[in-house]
Amino acid sequence: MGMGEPLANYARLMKAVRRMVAPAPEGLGMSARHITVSTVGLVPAIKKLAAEDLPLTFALSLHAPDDELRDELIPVNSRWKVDEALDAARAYFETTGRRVSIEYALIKDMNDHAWRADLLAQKLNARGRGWVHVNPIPLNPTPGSIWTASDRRTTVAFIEHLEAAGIPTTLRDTRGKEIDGACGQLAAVEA
Amino acid sequence: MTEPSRPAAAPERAPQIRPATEGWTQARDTEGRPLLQFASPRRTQPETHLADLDLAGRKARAQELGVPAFRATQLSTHYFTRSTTDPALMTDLPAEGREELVAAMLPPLLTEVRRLRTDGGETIKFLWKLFDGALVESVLMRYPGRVTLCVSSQAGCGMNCPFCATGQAGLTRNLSAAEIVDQVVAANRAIQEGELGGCAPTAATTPRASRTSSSWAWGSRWPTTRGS
Repeated sequence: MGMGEPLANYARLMKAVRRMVAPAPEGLGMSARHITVSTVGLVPAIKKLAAEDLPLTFALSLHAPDDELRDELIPVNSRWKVDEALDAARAYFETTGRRVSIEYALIKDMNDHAWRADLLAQKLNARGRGWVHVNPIPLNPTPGSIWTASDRRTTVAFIEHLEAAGIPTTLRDTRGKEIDGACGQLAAVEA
Repeated sequence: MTEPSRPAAAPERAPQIRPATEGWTQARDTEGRPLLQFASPRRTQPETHLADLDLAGRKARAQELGVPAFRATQLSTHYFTRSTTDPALMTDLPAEGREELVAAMLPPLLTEVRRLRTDGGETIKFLWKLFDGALVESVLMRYPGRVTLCVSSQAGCGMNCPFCATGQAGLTRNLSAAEIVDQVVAANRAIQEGELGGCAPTAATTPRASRTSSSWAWGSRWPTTRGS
């Protein structure tokens, strides 16, 4: 719900992260493990992040396991494909030992099909076990929009398909429903 | 690795909705693909803040300003530990020149435009205006046993995702390191003042998680207009 692609502002992001983890009075003394850097998949920057020698939590906003859909859903997929992003995520785990999060917003009839859960599980398992977990994110129901929440049964089935394949899966909750509009909407409307 | 094929037998049972923007049009590049902005169109940055510098850099800056290096350490403690930028509270600094020193080392970066609460006070959304008028948000959330903050890393976003309210306007500019850090300090301040969930501040309520993330439209309403 923060704005921006952090890895597109890499140098300043990392300087900020170093202030957050530096002990007082140099910085805030936070644990790197409790800082999550999330990206849509800027592969060269993911590699740089892995080389930073900081045990940050890394999250990849995947939202689709197949290039056919992800090309349309996440335009940067035209630069770095699903497999390249997953390879970089796996490499992040290998370098840092930190389990990677895959973020997957469930959108009704767009990316919530059981076969996509199977494909996602297959692509993750092909890269090893125990290195990743998936966070399906429910959207809020938005009548009249194609960007609306999966129904309950589909959500449960999606999670069951992942879990049946041995992928640790945690359904995220939604917060700030009344005030959010969409993420970034406050700033966009105010501008 | 073979990819599971889509069940061809009963396509009507598995409809496929394709991504499309609603109420706006994605900017395109010269080849007709959705425009991706990796470079910041606006190059200006706010004036240098204590949080842009490491401790050695802050000490050098203090000496440039004509005060002993250890003043930088005192200011750092006020800022990072006490979450304060108010000279009146910095009684360990000499009164003479204090305001000028604080103005030089801790220039205001975020001006609060709005603060919205929901989830029984356990979620606070901050809307901030930056020195050049750019707007960013951060969201503070209390969960059982932890507090999470979503931090903005850019004003706008150049990734142009069709679902995203932020992406519609494209990238305005990169935030400075201190503009990113200051969102965390502002959240700490709100917690220390008992703003989140109305609870008294304790060590356990200090944010331990901070999230710099890309945006996702998990809102209840889709924006159909912009720039209003």
